[in-house]
Amino acid sequence: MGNNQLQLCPKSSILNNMADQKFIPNKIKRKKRRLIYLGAALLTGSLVSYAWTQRINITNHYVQKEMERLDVKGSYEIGDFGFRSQTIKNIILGDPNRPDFTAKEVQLEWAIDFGGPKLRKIYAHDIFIRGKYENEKLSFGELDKFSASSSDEAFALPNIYAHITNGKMALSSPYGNVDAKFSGKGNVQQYFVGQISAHLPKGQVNGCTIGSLRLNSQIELQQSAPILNGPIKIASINCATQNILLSNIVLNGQTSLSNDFKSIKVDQKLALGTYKYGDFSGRNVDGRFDGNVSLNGGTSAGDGNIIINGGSFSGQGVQIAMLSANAAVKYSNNDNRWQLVSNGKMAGQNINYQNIAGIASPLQKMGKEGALPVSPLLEKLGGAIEKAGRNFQANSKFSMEIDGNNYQIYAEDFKLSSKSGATLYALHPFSIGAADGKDNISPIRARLYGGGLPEFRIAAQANGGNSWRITADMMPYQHGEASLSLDRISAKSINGKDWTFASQILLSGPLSSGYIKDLRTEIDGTYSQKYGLSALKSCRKIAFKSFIFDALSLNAAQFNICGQGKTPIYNNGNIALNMPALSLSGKMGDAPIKLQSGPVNYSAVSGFALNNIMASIGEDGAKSQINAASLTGQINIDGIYGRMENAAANIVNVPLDMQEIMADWQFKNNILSLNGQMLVKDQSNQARFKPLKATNINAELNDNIFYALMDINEPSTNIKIADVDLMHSLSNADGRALFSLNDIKFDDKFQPELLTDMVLGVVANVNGVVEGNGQINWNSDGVLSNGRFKTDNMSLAAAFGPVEALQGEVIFDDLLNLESRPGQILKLGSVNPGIEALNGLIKYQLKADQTVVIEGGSWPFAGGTLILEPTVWDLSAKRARHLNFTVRGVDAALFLQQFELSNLSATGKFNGNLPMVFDASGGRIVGGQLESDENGGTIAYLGALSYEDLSPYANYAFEMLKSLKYDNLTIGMNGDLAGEIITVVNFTGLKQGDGAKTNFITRQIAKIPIIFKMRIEAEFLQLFSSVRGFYDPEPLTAANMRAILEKQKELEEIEKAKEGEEKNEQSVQQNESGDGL
Amino acid sequence: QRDPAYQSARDSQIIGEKMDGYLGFVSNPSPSVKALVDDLNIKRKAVYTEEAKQGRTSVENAAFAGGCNNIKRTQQGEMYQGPDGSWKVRGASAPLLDSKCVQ
Amino acid sequence: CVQIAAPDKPIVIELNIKIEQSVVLRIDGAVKQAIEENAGIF
Repeated sequence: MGNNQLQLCPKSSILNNMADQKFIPNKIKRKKRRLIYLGAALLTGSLVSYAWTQRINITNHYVQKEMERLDVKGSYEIGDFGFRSQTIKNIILGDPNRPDFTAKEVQLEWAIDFGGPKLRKIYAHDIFIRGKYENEKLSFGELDKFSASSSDEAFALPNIYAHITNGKMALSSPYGNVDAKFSGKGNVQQYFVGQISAHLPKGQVNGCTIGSLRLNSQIELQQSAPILNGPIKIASINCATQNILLSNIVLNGQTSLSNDFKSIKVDQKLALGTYKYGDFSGRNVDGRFDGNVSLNGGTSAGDGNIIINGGSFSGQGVQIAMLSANAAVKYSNNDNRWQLVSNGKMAGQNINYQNIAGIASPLQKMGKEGALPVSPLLEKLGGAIEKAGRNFQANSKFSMEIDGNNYQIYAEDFKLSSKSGATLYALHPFSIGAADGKDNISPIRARLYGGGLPEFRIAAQANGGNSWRITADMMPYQHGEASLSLDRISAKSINGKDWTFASQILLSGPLSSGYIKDLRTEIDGTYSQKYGLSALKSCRKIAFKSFIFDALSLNAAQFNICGQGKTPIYNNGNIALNMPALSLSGKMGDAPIKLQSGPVNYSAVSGFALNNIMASIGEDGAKSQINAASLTGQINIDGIYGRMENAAANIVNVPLDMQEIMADWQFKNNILSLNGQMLVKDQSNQARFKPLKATNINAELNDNIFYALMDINEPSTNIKIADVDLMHSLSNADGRALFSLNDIKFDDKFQPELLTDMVLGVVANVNGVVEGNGQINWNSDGVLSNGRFKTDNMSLAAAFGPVEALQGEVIFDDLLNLESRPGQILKLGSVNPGIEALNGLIKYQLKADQTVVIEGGSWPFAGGTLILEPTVWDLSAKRARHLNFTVRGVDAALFLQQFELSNLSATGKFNGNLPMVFDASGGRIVGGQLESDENGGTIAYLGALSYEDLSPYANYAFEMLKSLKYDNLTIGMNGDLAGEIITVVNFTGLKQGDGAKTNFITRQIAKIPIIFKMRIEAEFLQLFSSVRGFYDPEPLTAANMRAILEKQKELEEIEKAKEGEEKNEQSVQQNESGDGL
Repeated sequence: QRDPAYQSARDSQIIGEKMDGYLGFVSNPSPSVKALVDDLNIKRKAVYTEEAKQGRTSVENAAFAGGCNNIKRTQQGEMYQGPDGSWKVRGASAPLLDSKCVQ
Repeated sequence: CVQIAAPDKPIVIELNIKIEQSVVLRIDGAVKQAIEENAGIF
């Protein structure tokens, strides 16, 4: 209860009152002293008045003389007069209307001895004395005249027996007027006993007004030392200047004075109704004090014991129900300089500190609402403080020294202990005092523990005025999983109001729904009533041992945090911090994760923002990674949400790079969801497709599984080309991606080169719809992918010429490596390498090593069929391609009819083969060879011939040519399908054809075997339309976007490959003929 | 409305109009110019094939006729193939055409 | 009567026919128009 002392200052008590921290200036002390004088004056007044009456030697012949001698005004009546006793009646001295002394009857008894008559006894009845006390002199009006001595002569009582009944006195003094009644009998010098009761209705002593003081006590004079025994009741003492108010004070006990009135011995029981000093107040104080006071002149000194065994106290929020103390006191006061020494024990029972709730409930509130590791502890602390403050008791031994304005209070075994078990005690005595106006407080070392409060070791050091330096250590304070310990706490204040503090902090506990272990940092901050609490001004290191959050567990990490600009990190309630960098590592499930970030900033208002973040999950070599330029987020009660900008990511085993990711994200009930868009790029260096834009991404990371649905669009036209459904498990890195084409419609505004670079210069003017779907599955063993693509009616232009009504489906067993199943069928409505070939059909298989196996192909042609022989093309090289066509059963007539060769007609069925070579500019027949079958046929040339100078035979031959039968016709062909073809036609076994002019000669000649060689160089339409060697044998179906390369290997390598394939061909042929292509 | 890359290749004399109706490389082209020219030639071939079909002649003839016209349409400073097969820079005057072309 | 001694060897008639049509003239107009219609690629 600090160093203010309880004041008890009943009128006649000796103990001086000691004001609060600052002692009362001298003026008040002199008032105190006068109060004492009044008491003493009253006492002595009543005695003196008695003694005075004794000294008046009223004898019948003296009195008159004496009175005249002393010029005493007064009247009296002499009663019966004996030799040894005389009775005087109705004595009135002084102004009859306001007599100084009246007595109804005074009876004197004398003793005669050799010295002359000596007064032995006085009997006085109904006497009245009027006294006046002024500037420290007591006067009784007329009675003074009888006093022989001057006032300051040594005062001694005569040896007379006195018996007074019904004595009254009216004493007026600057301090107030007293009416007293007294009686009593006995030898004044040896032993006199009587009764005295006095009443001071209103007193005034240096600034204090006393209300209705009543004294009613027995008085004894032992060897002229007066002893008073009996109660003194004072209604109230009110010292306005010192702001002290006491009411219904009752003193009961004995006060005895030395016969020279120099020393007073007091032993009083005290009961104080109420007291009030400043804002302290209390009720029903009862106690005892005993001691001695010695007075001489201006100085007084005293010592004694005070015991307070009860009484309530309340002030500054502290209520003490039962205050008790007992102390020995020694004081001295010479010419206004007070010295007082006191030591003793003090205790307060069931003390309650009212505004404890003001401290406790905010802590509890913060604890309940906060989601910080320290919240459970705040809640517990609030509860413990609230319980501790409700009812505790205080005990302390103390000793006190006051010397004028300087005072020093020593407290020893100071202890506060609460019902809740909380205890605060000082480890060793400490002192509080002030000397020459400067406070000096000794170092205080205390310990706090129990009742659910944290255990503290505190050392407080005050150095003058209100400046304090406190250091403390707090033992780990636990509650549930949370634990906090503060080491080397230091706090400084120069004015008691504004504090700076610092401490090492080690904290573990729940953080939102995770748990952080051993968060360690150094806190420093300031608290001021004006600016509130702010902490963490400068940058500092923060480290934690582990942070577990569901499947995520972070290893130990440390990083620096700094305030933003000059504001401290924690500034009066709001938090704002920057981190130059952040690097964390740990595990998600059992997959290792790493996070690196550039500058991070966070503030409670604007949330957090991380810049250039790199995060990866998975073992080395099987890592999924995400880097983002900026990641921002806001934290609210039910989750965290934010934005990610310019991020790039790739998922292990998935051969795609995701870039320019822009997404809103949200983390709620443990599910991370993202919506946004990104670019998807083919990872392989020969990109199979141009970057595609993924929009309407709807992704979710839930229990370590990543799901994502998205539309895939072509970036420049924003035309949607596919839906993708992706699933990937982060913990074991397996997953799958399903995609279905959105019926891609190629037209003049949407060409395949928008999707892939591989088609530019290979195919153009693509028109048609491609549909299909595909699936990629990956796991730790590897990646499987398959797909099915189809077009019902597509037209395109290729290097070898336009293709129309292309129809076919390709099924890939290994989509990513573009390997299809064998026996894929492609129907070509029409191909026009120069000569239009209709209704072609090819069977092929794409192989992973960029080769294509042509299992065969066929075109109906002029009544027969054109059969493409199986071959293998290596697409990775850019070079001429070889295709070998077998001709079967081509009908010459139909053939020629197809080309409207009006001047030539022929019949006969032809077989043979046409090796073709295709390159960048088109297709050529190289060494084509056709031969008529065994039935031969006819031929007739109706056109004009340009050679006139033919030999007769030649003429004959031409004549024959007009209509000719042949047994065997071979045609050799070479040349550009799209241009000039050189055809060498050989006839053997010629006979006249029907309708030819036959005459004798011709019949003769008819027998002669004629070999007719004809070389026709004609630009007219190519003789055969045949599947020319494609610039690229495999017509690109835009759908399967496969890689097509420009040049094919040198002819020889093909030959080698062909020999290699011979066996394969035989086997293919067998099954070829089998299914009768 | 030519593709800017195509126009700049013509202006910078990397490519020129050949007699056979197709674009040819005067100097070594970059891969992108090469792919661009291949694409244009394919598209030209499709047109020529259509004209050949209509005109009952070979694609080669249609292409040749195209070549004559392409050379006539070259601007000053663009490249074209002269009758002797060598590359010529189109001047202000009419270009040298093959005898078979329509002058 | 005229006896033509049938040669013992087969009569070999070699005939080279070069059919040449100058079509350029015929299709020049159509091709010119086609070029103008597809100016983008010419």
